[in-house]
Amino acid sequence: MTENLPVQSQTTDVAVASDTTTQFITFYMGKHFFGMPIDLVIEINKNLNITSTPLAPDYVLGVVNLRGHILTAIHLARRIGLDYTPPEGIAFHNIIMGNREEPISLLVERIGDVISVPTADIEPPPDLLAGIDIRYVKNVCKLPGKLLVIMNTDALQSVSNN
Amino acid sequence: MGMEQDILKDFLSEAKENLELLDQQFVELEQDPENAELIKSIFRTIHTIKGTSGFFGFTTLEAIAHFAEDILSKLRDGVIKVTEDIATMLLKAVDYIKAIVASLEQTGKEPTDLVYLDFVVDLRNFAEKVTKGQPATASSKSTPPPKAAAPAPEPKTESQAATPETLAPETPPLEAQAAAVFKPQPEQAATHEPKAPEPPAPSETKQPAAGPPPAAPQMTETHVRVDVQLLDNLMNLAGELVLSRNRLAQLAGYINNPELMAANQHMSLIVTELQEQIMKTRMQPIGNVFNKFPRIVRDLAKNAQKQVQLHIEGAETELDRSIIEVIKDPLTHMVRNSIDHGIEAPEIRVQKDKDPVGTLTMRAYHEGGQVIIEIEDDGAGIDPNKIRRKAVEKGLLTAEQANALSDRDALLLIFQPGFSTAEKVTNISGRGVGMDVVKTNIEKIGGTVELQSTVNMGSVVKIKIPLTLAIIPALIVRCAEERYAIPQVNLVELVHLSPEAVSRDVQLIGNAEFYRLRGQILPLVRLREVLHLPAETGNEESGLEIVVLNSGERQFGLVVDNINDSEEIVVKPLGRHLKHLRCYAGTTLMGDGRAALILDIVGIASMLHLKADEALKKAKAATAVATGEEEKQFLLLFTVAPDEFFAIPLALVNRLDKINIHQLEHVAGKEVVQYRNRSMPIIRLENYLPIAPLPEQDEYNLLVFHVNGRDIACLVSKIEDSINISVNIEEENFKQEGMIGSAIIKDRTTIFLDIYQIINTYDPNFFAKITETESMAAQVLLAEDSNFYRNILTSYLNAAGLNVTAVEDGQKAWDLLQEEHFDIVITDIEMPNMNGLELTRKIKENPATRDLPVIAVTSLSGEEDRKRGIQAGVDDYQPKLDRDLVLRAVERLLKIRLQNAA
Repeated sequence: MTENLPVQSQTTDVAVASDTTTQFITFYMGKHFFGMPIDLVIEINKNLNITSTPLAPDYVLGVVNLRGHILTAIHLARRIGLDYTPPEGIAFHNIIMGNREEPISLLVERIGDVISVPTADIEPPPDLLAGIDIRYVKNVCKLPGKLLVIMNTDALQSVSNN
Repeated sequence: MGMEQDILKDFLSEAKENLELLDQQFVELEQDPENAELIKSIFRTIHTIKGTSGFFGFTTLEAIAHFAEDILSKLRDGVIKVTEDIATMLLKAVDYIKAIVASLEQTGKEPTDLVYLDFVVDLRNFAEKVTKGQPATASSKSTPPPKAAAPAPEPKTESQAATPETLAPETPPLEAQAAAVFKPQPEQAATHEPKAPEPPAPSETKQPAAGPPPAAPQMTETHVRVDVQLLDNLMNLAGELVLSRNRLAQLAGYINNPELMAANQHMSLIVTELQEQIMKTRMQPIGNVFNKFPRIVRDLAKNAQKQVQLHIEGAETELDRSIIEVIKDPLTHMVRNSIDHGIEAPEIRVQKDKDPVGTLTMRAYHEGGQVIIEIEDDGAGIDPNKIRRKAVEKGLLTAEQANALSDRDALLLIFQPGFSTAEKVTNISGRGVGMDVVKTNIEKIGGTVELQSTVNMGSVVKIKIPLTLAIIPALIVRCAEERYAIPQVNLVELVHLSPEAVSRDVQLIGNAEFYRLRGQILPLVRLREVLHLPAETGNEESGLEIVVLNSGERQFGLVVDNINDSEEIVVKPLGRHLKHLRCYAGTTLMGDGRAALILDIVGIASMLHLKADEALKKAKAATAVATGEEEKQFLLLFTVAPDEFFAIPLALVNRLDKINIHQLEHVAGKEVVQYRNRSMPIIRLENYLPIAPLPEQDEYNLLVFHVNGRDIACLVSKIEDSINISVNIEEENFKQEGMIGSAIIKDRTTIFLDIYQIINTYDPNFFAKITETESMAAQVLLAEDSNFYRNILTSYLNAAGLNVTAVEDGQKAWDLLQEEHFDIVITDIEMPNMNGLELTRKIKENPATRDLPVIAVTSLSGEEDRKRGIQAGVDDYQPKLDRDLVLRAVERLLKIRLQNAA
């Protein structure tokens, strides 16, 4: 019966789960290669119409309608301080992610594969990562030929002061 | 009885839920005996059951809950600790309670089986031991002391004995119960005794087996509690489904396959039905609120020593859950008011030949997509005179204003903050908060409040509220390729201005635009500017689309690119990244599936307020210096030479503009400038006034006046400010041609210009003379207490060729009318001694003066004044600073008078 006690918390961190591999959704903004744990992604959607929201923080590109839910569309590059401007008028991919109460739509340029990475290969981020606000980086993972930057999804969702 | 049934149903469904929870909580408690929160929660649940069962007279249930509560209270206070025994006993109590609840649900009665009584005794003994702090075994006393915990439930049970039916005859009042149970002590003791020496666990596990009735009826579920979030999600999805269906229908139309069409049509029906049903899940009968009133009314009536009978009608009327929450308090307020101020004491009612028992009716019904709630009483009604007196006493109105109010308008005063007509403050009402709060709350949800009252017959308060908050009517506008929704509640009117009207009626003061809407100055706000969007290009030729909005205190015009349709929109919240933006109230979906933002008009107004803060602060500082009895007015402050300040009423100025020195042309001894494809004469003020000359500048400011269909401009050096203040003009020092006087504004002596006189000096033929059509100059009697306005009016009336005699108040005007001949009277409304309305009434009542036309003039802000003026019999009504309108009215009325005379 003791197992039923409510005080016990059963949430464990996905990134450090004892499984041998972790699955990531990967995506691109320019040349930069990002990933986030697959279970934090609700769905991926292309071509959602974005309604612009004047006066909003610059990383908010607007709002989108996802089957009756209106979600805030966050411009990934602007959000994490990436010095990259996607070509004018491209259709972004929407990664619908985050908590189910109020998900956000993360706007990315291109969706990559779903990849499995050995958990052991996941490393803490370096102190400095060229052109990226380090607050938004949770981990990195060296892959053959490129570096996978694993996003800090909490930071992406939260309302930052600056 | 119906209501009691409802409450019973509520009680049962709630109890069932709580009981499920209890099971779980007890188990948790066993694991974590120190958890005070848990104990408190269990205690509350049991306490509720006890209270409610007491109310219905379910004595067995009440007794079980009572003793369980006893034990729990000790646990809660930390006197004893949870042991397995205690937990088992309490769980058993829960089992019994469940069984009784199930029986209540099926038969409406408590089960009569003796095992329940047995358990009550068991529990009672156990509770006593426990509360005495003894180990929780039934060892010591099997014979209970007779007066243990009985006193508390005693009175209740007695009163319930009087209410039959619900009380099964077999369930005697508790005292008797206890007695009955205690008497057959032998048997009882027999069943008890063995328990005592043994470890209690086995005997107690035996008990429940025997405890609940053999065939415990199953609890059936007819209601499910659903998370509101889930319902909202469903509604969203249903909305989306409708959109998808529409697209599908379109596609089916292209393909034009009969089978597809039929299938689509069928689906269409289902989708519509689905949406309706889901909408219904948010609806609740208003009875949920009304049901609380019989008790409230009873208590209030008792406190006030009145007799009141409450009628409830239309309790089944449904409206949105969120609205039900909001109207609860306003309704209570109004019912309180009715009982406290409305319905009279019985002896007074008898004197008035009324039934000593007053009637209060709460009524709800649907009408035109709205829910109407009426609260009607047959009490004393509200005496408009009493309200007028009160308003004057409280300094809300002057005696004249109060008397000029119609009865209907007087009644509306009770919605003013700080107003209460109760002769004395009681603990129920009379503190002067209430009706204004009621009104604000109702208006917040887009509703309205109306009041009708007849003295000695009673009052009716009528509240109209929308069916739902989730769906509101809104105006869709377009701005920079996006659509925005403006809630209809804020909407006053729509104005389309042609380019000509823009140039004529839109004034530019500094960076701010104003539009003269029927004599009122309406600040214009461009939505593009509010939202920091690039200015519209190339659309100036098509004029302006203005949405006139009301943000509570002030009105303003919002300039948008396009105005679309009105639509019913579903309101959705903003995400957390956008919540801080004050200009948006939420988001919504358009018919094509795209999101759109809902504008928060109050938020936008307050944003503008911030912008105008500086100017406002200055104006306030200025007011502090220049307070007088004058009305507030917008003034434009400017300089010709540095450090010499001039003021002119903003309403006289049509436009402000800048010109370059090279644009000035000298033609036939006059200075002109090309302005809107015409030559506009330029006046240099130093040529007509003894002031320092205008220094040479690269760029000058122009004050453009539009009089008599022509433009004329004054050349000035700098526009200092525009402020809204009340000033007291002194005439002594600067009274001369072209000047009205001076006042201290912002610590500086400022000269008020008489622009009409200056223009008249510049060109005596500039103004068309009204008298040109007549043989002699018309005699005008002008009554105006403010010397500032009196001078301006006199000035432009004189310039138009009229002979003006000006006096300071209505009394003087009336006296003068007895002695001299006048052709027309122009009067201000607010004046000492005799106001303009009284003057008008006097003129219209006296046969000698009845035919004399009267024009009432007022400052810019008075729709109320206008109504009152027309009631008093004025022939025309104009804003005093609008020269053209006033003169046109004078001309028209004089012509009529002339024709009548002929």
